[in-house]
Amino acid sequence: MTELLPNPLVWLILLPLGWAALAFWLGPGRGRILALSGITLQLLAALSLAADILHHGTVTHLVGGWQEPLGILLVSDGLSAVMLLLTQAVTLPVAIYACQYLNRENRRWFWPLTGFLLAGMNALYLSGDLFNLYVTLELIGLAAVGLVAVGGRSEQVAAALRYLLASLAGSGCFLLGVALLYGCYGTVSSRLLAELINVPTPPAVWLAAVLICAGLFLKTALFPLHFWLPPAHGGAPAPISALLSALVVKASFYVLLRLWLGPFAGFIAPLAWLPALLGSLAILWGSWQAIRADRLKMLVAYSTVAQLGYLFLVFPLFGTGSMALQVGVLQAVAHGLAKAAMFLAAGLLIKAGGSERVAGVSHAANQLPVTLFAFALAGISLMGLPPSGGFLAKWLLIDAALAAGQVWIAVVAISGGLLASVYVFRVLLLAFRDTEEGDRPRPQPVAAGMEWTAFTLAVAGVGLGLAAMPLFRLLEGVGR
Amino acid sequence: MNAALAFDTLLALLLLWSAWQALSTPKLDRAVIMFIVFGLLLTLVWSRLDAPDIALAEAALGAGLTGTLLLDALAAFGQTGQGAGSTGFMTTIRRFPTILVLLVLLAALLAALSNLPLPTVNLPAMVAQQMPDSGVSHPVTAVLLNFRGYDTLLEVAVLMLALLGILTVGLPVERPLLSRNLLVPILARYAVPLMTLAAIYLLWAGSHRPGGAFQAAAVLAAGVVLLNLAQVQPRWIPGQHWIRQLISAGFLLFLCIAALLLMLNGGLLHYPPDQAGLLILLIESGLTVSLAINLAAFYLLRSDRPEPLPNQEDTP
Amino acid sequence: MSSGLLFAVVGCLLFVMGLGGIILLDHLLRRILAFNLLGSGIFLVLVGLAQRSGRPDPVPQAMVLTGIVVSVAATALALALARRHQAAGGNTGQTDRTSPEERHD
Repeated sequence: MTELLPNPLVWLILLPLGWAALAFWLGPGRGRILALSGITLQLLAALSLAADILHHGTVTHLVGGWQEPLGILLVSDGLSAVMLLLTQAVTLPVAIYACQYLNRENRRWFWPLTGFLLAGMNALYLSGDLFNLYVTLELIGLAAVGLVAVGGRSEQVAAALRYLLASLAGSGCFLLGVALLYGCYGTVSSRLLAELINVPTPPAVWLAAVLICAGLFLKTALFPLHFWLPPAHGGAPAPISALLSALVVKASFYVLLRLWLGPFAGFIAPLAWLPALLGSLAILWGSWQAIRADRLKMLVAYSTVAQLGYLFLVFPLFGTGSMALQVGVLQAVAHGLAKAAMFLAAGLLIKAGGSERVAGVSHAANQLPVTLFAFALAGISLMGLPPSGGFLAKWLLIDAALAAGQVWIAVVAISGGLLASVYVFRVLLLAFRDTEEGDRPRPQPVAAGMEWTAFTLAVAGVGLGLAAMPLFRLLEGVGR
Repeated sequence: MNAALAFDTLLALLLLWSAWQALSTPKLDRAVIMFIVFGLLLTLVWSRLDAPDIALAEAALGAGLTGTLLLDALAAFGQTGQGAGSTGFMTTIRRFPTILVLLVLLAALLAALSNLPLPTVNLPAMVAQQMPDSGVSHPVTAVLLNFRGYDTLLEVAVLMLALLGILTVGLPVERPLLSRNLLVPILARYAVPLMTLAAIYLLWAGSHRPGGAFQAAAVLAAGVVLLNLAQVQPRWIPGQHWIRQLISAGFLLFLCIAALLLMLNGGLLHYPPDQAGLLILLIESGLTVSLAINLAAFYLLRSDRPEPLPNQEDTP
Repeated sequence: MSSGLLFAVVGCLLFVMGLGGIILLDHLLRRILAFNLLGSGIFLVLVGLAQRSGRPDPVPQAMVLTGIVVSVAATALALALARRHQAAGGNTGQTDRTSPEERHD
């Protein structure tokens, strides 16, 4: 497949940069065709790259032909390939949905913003250089803030501001850590750093690791640094919330994984209990807030806070020969698919029902059976019921936790699933209930195409549980 | 303690003092002025650290453009920084743990800094060794446009993104100047042509001396802003397509060259050594124009609607 | 102590000041000033540490140039958001962090 599209690695970065800039050139509201064709090509490139990796192992590309540490290395192993596939695969249905969902005002700069967001994420997954990672994190952060501000209501502007300040503080901490590492070792290449950092680790390296992790925790909205996420994700238009919850937060988690298993692997293991503890608190707190939430999209946003907690439960399980990495990645992918489907479905329910409140779901439910089914399927994955991807991830997590003797992780995982079922069923039960008398806003018609994009994502989330083998094959040999 | 170190220490103390003042002084306009002073002192620091490229960029972008944007925003906020300032959300009880954590962080940083290992990798030597193949003879330009040119590509995208965000959020309304200063138009008439010349020189000089596209763009942008302040150049409105097109043109040029090199040479941004200098100059010229307009647009782009808040539909 | 290390120490102080400012200060404009101080501090650490043995190093200098440009972009966006927030009637002293959890409107 390499003959068809040589260097798919590089095209995954150049394509979105190109169509985003062209969409900007063309003007407000334009760029839809460019975007959809660009994303399709990117998806093909990601598939081609994944096939390359299955046959030949890790793919690398030296930018400018300069050897490290002088130049920047682009590298893709199985983990990057999986994240790249997730990114393009989720963005395509969301983009199709956005074509019809967004009104003219919201669509003004949506395409260039989304294009740059994609470029940033793809560049992040392929980067092998810590300073380059910082630049990609800023690219993603500014694009996400711009997208949060779409719609222009004052809560959205406030949410965007909070997100921006938090994001800048996070990347600031990250960059200071990188500065300390450069001061110690004279390079920012993650491959070289992994070789150079050995025990006994100097205090500066410890501090650098703490700073970098703190910055990334903030960007991944790990409790208690999650304060910026619910208003940002809950207030934005539905397709944007989908992109943010499903994809953007996974980017900083990926960086954390890479560094934890790469340059920091020699010394950071004793600290693994911290992200796991915070993750547990995130699951409990996020689920509780979701159960109590009054607005539908806030419910889904708090669910994101909770589900992100699961990702951090795997940190104590690394290095015990278990499938901890596979579990973490599977959880990230399953959540990405399910959460995107859920946000898209929620957007349709709100639009058709005319009400943002959870109770308003009942107005639109009988009119939108496909959407409701999509919501339910997504909920099944979040709850961890078979045969979904979420179930497989949680089952493997519990298995790995028990094998490593960390029983509390298994307990937290199970409780999280139970709590998730409470808020998912809350929505579903309301949907099947007749509304009370009183003002029932007239349901607005909703285009069928949008329902099917939500449905496709939800089905993919469930299908992941049945067909996860290719994913595991890609992840073989990555990390410990 | 020799004279140089004494001077540096004095500079450092002034720097810290101006930073503290910027954060703590009660009047907001004074805070912004202290921030600009901080920026100018920082320019001196960069010169002391043998970093003239950064000094140029800090003066033009850090103190100059950022200062202008802040002063402009100040007018929108009103002069007083009081408002609800004193009864913030962070009550005293919550302030203490945060300050404690920050002090611990500071102590850890200082401890780490006193105990740094010496780096084993000698990157400056590698840069010097490979520079003949890079097409330029100034090391910082070689790193910025050749060895790590990929970072520069992404950073231009970041600038465009900021503009996109500003366009999405909504542009400020044009505000008429409150006072007519006779000096500014005269200054503009003499200074702007000189600044344009300086920008062209900086662009060309970047290949063998401190300078380059970013500094040239910053100086050009400053010239455009000065023209606006002198009321020679009216504000820009979003309807003017050339603004968007010129901004994306420079980036697209960079991207096309990168893509062409990928397809012909098999490597992203892999310049053939004998044409590297020419290609870099071409890219930098395009970037100078589009970055200048991008930076100036942060200040000059105003809404063409009479009311500051466009009517938004309520659908999420 | 070389001048590189001296300014790296200054950079650390600026970083902590800036971070404290973002977290603790109330007025939006001051938080944006604090963010710029944070950035300048990091740049000083980057170049100061790399040049603590006295010889100039072009790689961190190029990184700092990139960083300054990113800072300007972020500041411009933050100011536009703050200005819009102000115009929409939001109190600049209250970019509240606690209210989203307490408010279940």
